[in-house]
Order: sequence, then C-alpha cells, then structure tokens
Amino acid sequence: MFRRRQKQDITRLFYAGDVHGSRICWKKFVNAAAHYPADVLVMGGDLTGKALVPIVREGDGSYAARVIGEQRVARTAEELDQMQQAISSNGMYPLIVDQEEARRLGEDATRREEAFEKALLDELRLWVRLADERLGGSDTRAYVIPGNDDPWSIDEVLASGTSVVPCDERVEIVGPHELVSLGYSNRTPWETPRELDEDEIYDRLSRLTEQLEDPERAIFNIHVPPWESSLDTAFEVDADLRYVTKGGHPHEVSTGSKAVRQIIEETQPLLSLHGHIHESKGVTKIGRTVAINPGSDYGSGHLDGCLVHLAPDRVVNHYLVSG
Amino acid sequence: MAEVGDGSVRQGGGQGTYARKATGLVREVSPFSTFVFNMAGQPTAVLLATSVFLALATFPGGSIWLGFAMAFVGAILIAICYGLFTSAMPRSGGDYVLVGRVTHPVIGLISSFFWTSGVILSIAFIALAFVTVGLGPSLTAVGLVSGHDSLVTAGNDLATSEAWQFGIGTALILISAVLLAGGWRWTTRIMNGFWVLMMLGLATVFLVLLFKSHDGFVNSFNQFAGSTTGEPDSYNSIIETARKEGVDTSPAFSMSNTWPTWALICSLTLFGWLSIYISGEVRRAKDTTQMKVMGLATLVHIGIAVVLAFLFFEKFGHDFFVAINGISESENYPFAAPPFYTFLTAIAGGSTLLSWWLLVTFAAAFPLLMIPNITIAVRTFFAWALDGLLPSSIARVSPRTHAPNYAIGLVVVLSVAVLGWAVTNGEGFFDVLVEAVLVQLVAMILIGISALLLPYRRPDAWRASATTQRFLGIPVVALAGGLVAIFLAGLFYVYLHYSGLNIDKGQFLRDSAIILGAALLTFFIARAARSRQGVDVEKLAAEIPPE
Repeated sequence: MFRRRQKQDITRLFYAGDVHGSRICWKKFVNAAAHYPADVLVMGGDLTGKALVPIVREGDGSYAARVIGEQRVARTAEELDQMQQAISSNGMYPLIVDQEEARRLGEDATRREEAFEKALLDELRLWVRLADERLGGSDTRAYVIPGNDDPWSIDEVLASGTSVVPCDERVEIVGPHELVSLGYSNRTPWETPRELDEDEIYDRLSRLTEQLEDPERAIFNIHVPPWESSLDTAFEVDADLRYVTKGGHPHEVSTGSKAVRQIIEETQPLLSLHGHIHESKGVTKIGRTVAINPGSDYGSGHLDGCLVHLAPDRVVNHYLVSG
Repeated sequence: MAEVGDGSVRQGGGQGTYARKATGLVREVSPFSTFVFNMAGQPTAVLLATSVFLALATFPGGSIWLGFAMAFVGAILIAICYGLFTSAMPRSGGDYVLVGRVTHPVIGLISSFFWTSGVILSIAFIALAFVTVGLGPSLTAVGLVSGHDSLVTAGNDLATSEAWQFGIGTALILISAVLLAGGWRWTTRIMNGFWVLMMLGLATVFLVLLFKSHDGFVNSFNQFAGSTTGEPDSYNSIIETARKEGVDTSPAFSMSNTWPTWALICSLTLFGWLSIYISGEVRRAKDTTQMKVMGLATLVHIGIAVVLAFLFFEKFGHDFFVAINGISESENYPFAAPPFYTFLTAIAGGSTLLSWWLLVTFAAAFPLLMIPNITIAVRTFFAWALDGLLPSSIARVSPRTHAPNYAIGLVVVLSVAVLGWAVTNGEGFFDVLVEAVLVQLVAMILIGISALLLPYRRPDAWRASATTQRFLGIPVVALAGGLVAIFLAGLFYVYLHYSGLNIDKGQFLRDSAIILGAALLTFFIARAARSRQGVDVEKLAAEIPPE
C-alpha cells in the first residue's frame, strides 16, 4: 500500500516520451523538475510533430487556419499568437504563408518537406532555449534522446543547449546510477528514420551495457519497449497500413523489440524506461527489472509520465502521472 | 500505433493540414460505441417503464410534453457544455479530472465522491431492478398474456424472493465486471448488442401500436382482462376504480405540477454525456465529435420517448393510461404484472411470442445500463489511484487486456455489499436511493461551474481545444457551463421543494455531510501517507504548470 520512503539517498527521476511536437508537453516536461519535484529528467524520444498547419494571410490582413476541425480566424496580433499556440500545443507546426505560398505547398511535395523540416527544427531550437532558461539555474539536467520518428537533423539542435544532455547511444552517470540510452526502434510498417533490425539493436545495446560498471544499478532509457512485455501492445496493420481486424475489431499484437527484451533479461538493470507505443501504458517486471511505459497522450496537452524514486540499489516507488 | 503514410509529407488530418509519416496513438472506442455508451446510461426502455408515467397520477395536470421539452433543452445544454469541456481535456476519469484539474484536486475529489456514491447506489439498484422490474414483472406479464400460471408464479417469486434478487443481481454485476476485465473489445460488442436488442424491442412496440387502433386495444384489453376481473368492460372499470381512489384522470393543466413532472423526466434524460468518463479511450475525443455524439444520443433518446409516449396516450387512451398507472400500487389493481408499456403492448398484440420478445428486449435494458455505471466507477477509482489518492495497486492493469482489474474488483465488492443491503433492507435502501439523482446533481453542477472557469483558469487548454468559439464575446464553453449550473440548480431546488418526489431534506443533508467528510478524509489521509513517501499528492493530482 502506501509504503514509507526510506531515509537514504533517493534519486527522484521524472520520465516522459513521445511528446511529438507538443510545445505544452515539452514545457510541462521541463517544469516537472520543480513541480513534483525531480532531480533528473529523462525524455524517451519522438520529440517532433507529425503535422504542419499553414496559417494563410488573407487579403484583408486577417489570418485563417483550420485547427482540430475548426476554421479559425485571427484578426489581431494577439489572436494570431493564440492561434499559433493552439497549433503548437496540439503537436503541430504553424506556418504563416500568403495565399500564393499556400497554393504552392498544396502542389509541391518537396516544398512541403522543406517547410516541415524547417518548422520542426525551429520549434526544437525554441525547446532547447526554454530548457536552458528554466533549468539553467539548477543542477537538474534533461537527458534527451530522439525516437524512431525523429529526423536526423534534430541531433545537432539537441546538442546546442546546456541543460539538455543528448544521450543517444551513450552511457551517462546520473547520481549513483548509469543511464543507458537508445532511440532506435525495431522495424515498423512506416519505415521511419531510425529503425534497425533486431540483431543490430542487440549489438548496439550490448556495446553500451559492456561499459556499465554496476549493471544492477543501471537505468535503461530505450525508446522501444521489450517484446511481449504488455508495454508493447498495439493494433496490427497489414502491408497497406490498414488495421487487421478480427471479428470486426482491430487485432492487437506485441510490437516491441526482442533484442531489448533479451538485453534486459541478461543485464537485469534496476529500471527500464520506454515509450513508442502510446496506448500501451503500464508497469511490469522483467526479472528484477521494473519496466515502465507511461504512454503518451500528447495531443490532449497532458504529459503522461512517471515519477520514480530510486535508492541506489532498488526502485523505492513509482507513480504513473498525467500532468 | 499506426497512422497511414506513404513516406512523404502529405495532406491529412483536415483541410489545410500536412502530415508526415509517423507512429501514433489509436483509441479503442469508436464514435458509434461512444454513442451507445451515452444512450446506455439512460436506456429509453427504462425511462418509459419506470419514470415518466409515475408522474401522471402523482402530479395531476403536470404536462409530460412540457417536461420533455424542458428536459431536452437542459440535456442539449449539458451535451454542449460537457462535450466541449471534455474535448479540452480528453482524459478518462470524468468529473474528477475535469473539476479537479480546473479548480483544485480536493474539489475534484469531492465532486467525484458525490458522483460515485450515486453510481454505486445505481449499480445496486440496477442489479435489483433487473430482477424486480425487468425479469419478474415481464415474466408475469408473459404468463398472463399466454395463460401460463406457472410463469405468473415464477415472475412473482423472482420479484419477491430476496435470494433470487441477490443471486441474479450479483450475477449481473459479476458478468458485467468480467466483461470489463476482458477489455473494450468484448465490452463494446456486448453493450452494442444489448442496445440493438432494446431498440428492436422499442421498434416492435412502435409498430404494434401504430397498426392497432384505440378501439382495437380496448377490445383486446377487455378480452384479456375479463378472465381476471370478471367484468365485460374492464377498460372503463379501471378508469372508474382510479377515480374512486382519487386519481384525476383528466386534470386541467397545472404548471406547478409540471415542475416535478419535469424533474422525474430529468432523472432519466440528463445523462447522455457519460462518455466523459472514458474520454481517454474514445476516438476523436479532441474535436467536437463527442459533443455531437452526446447531442445525438439525447435527441434519439428523448425523441423515441416522446413518440412512444404519444402513441401510448393515443392507443391506450389518455384517461385509461393515467388511471392504470395511478392504481398500479393499489390493492384494487387487478393484475400481477405492473402496467408497463411492455405488458400493455403484449395485450394489444395478443401474442405469446410477442410477449416473450418484449420481455427479452426490455430486460436487455438493465445489463445495458449496468455497463456504463460499472465502467464509470472503475475509471473513477482508477483515476484516484493514479493520482496517489488510493493505493497504487488499484491503478494496476492486466498485462494482457490492460483492464484495471483491481479497480474492477473494488467496484464489485462495494456494489455487491450495497446490493445485499438493498435486498435485505429495501425501505432503508430506497430512502437513500432517491437521493442518488440529487447527489449526482451536485457533481454535475460542479462540472458546469468548472466549464465556466475553464477559459480563465486553464486558458492554454481552452485555446488548444476545439472549444474556442464565442457568443456575444463570451466563450461558448463558459456560457454553456454557466447555463448548465443554473439549470441544474433549478432542478435541484425542484427536487427539494416537492414532497411528492420523496426527498427527505434532513437525511439528504446528513448524507451529503457524510460524503463530503469521506472525501476530505480520503484526501488528507492520502496526503499524509504520500508525504511520508516524499511525494506531494496535490502535485500528483494537478496539472504541471506549463509556464
């Protein structure tokens, strides 16, 4: 039940992932350090958004955009700012264009891709600045990895801050713990930027765990959850990216990584943090390892995460939170 | 986890939006199942059998048509308000989340305690009513129509035996809980199936009565009732009996009696919004779909009720219908089955097969009603546990189905305990049960007030939602919230004002104080316990401030 917190060195870690371009979720992630409070912030990948929303400058000086199915018009600078905030909060990128540019975007796929890339990098730069501003005066650091959905171009932006520690494929020291991070996923039907075959994932994780001085105190921050862990249940899709239905309902399958499961079973770290499968929120144990996927509901503006209190050699308690 | 994509940035999501390939969340409950869920919380069959026509004799001259119209206005306002509100915070947990996140976690918990108290009472009542209102009287009605005395006896035994009431009621609770433990896939299938069954039953009633003339019904009734009453014109004899008992069968319109009539109708027409408790699991929860679904559920529910009520008066005859409902609890009432529309329609149809069909389709309304009620209680306990207000184990989910089995177990234990009390101490239970609507009104008013505050207390959530429309410069969600709070406060007043609605004010105040105390006690115990673990429970249960 309500177990008492032992009076010893406790590391308070807050983990979240899959914010997918939601500026409000990123702000909450950074502010979680002061809110709960937490000594360490860990972000488990998939930072970038999925949609670009053109805000069209009309002839009368107003701005129009369609946001979550609602046609909105901004007539003042304040309203335009609020419109942009509303788009950003939903994990989409606002892009102010004139009518001619809106037409070109509609016709030219390359132009859209370039606009998208620029928008997501500009947004990420803003996020890194925000983290520096809010965490700059403290010892708290945000350990951040990209996820399979994130383009390669974001790595340079993540490395540009002082409070954000980009840690993909690295081992970082976090208090008495070592943090092992990997942002790749196993293969998905979407052929996203950062995917690897299972044996390659295993090799990369093995190279990381070989560096561990005390695996029993280690924390894994691996974007993709372990295979058949209950943290990896998603709807099956066919080759045409349509849901496979059985009895009229989408069929659920395990989508996690077998390599990740194997490395957890072999290494038995203290804690293993995952994301990737938004709807498979949960906590489970693999041997002695507490494995957590806090899920994601970034589109609602709520940050699903987990607050974990760690003694050097055990997980004292953990809370799935929706802040 | 999927969204379709062809590897490029493409048009998607809506006009003027470009999406790129990426993985993403899929929510399980479809808009159709959300619609059924919202209708299931107030099955039309139960409204027509138990609520509306009680008012005819109790509040003579009260207009059920005006009552329906006023209830419809309120229900639509609620659909707009709660639908827009939940689209700004599409999470499971209902009033606890909406009220707590906008005002304060303690107020959310207080609201939730009021609401959940009503829900647990309702679960026990549904389980009991499944036997005493659904199966028992229907079986008796089948026996009477088909001339099988054994069925009449069986129906009476079911309706009066405490063992049957507890046994079958408990079985209904357990079966519903097992369904939920299996996840949404089976739950929505079964729920939708029950709903279709109930609707087919209502469609059958509509067709039977549509093609039956009033004179034809009078003849069928006299033919049927003659063997019981021994009179050739039982139809008019029922009317005379009622008049002798003081029932005014054709009273003049009375506005003062329309208010309590409206209140009775509201008890089963204002609840077409219960999907706010599963918003985290329904598809398209972020846009206005849920609001539209709630509005449609309300329209269909009240629309069918009005059409069928009109047919009842036309075909059964106004005076007769008032009379037979007026004496249904009297010793002069000649039949073993209550005068539900199913019984009267079966008489009109004169067919054993029809009476069995109406039994099955009417009884289906009770498990249909059970599913959202148990779901609501489970999601509420789950949300409390997730925020650290209950032991963390209550928030554990099944690795296979992701169902919160501990929360489901807690709901079952509480509900079966209350059912046991209801069966063994019916009078005491019903004294409390009549308060269920009132205590739930407290929570509904708090949701309305929170919606009113949403654009001012959580402007970020409001601006990022599909709720930014304004009317006369006022955010629509705030305007709707204010109107809902006023509407429900008016309903609250009517419940307390009219003695015919059987609310004991003193007991209600005492019970409200107990609920309030229990909520505060729970919060402060949880806060103290979590504090010892180094966690501030108010922070766990609050939004992380983005700025």
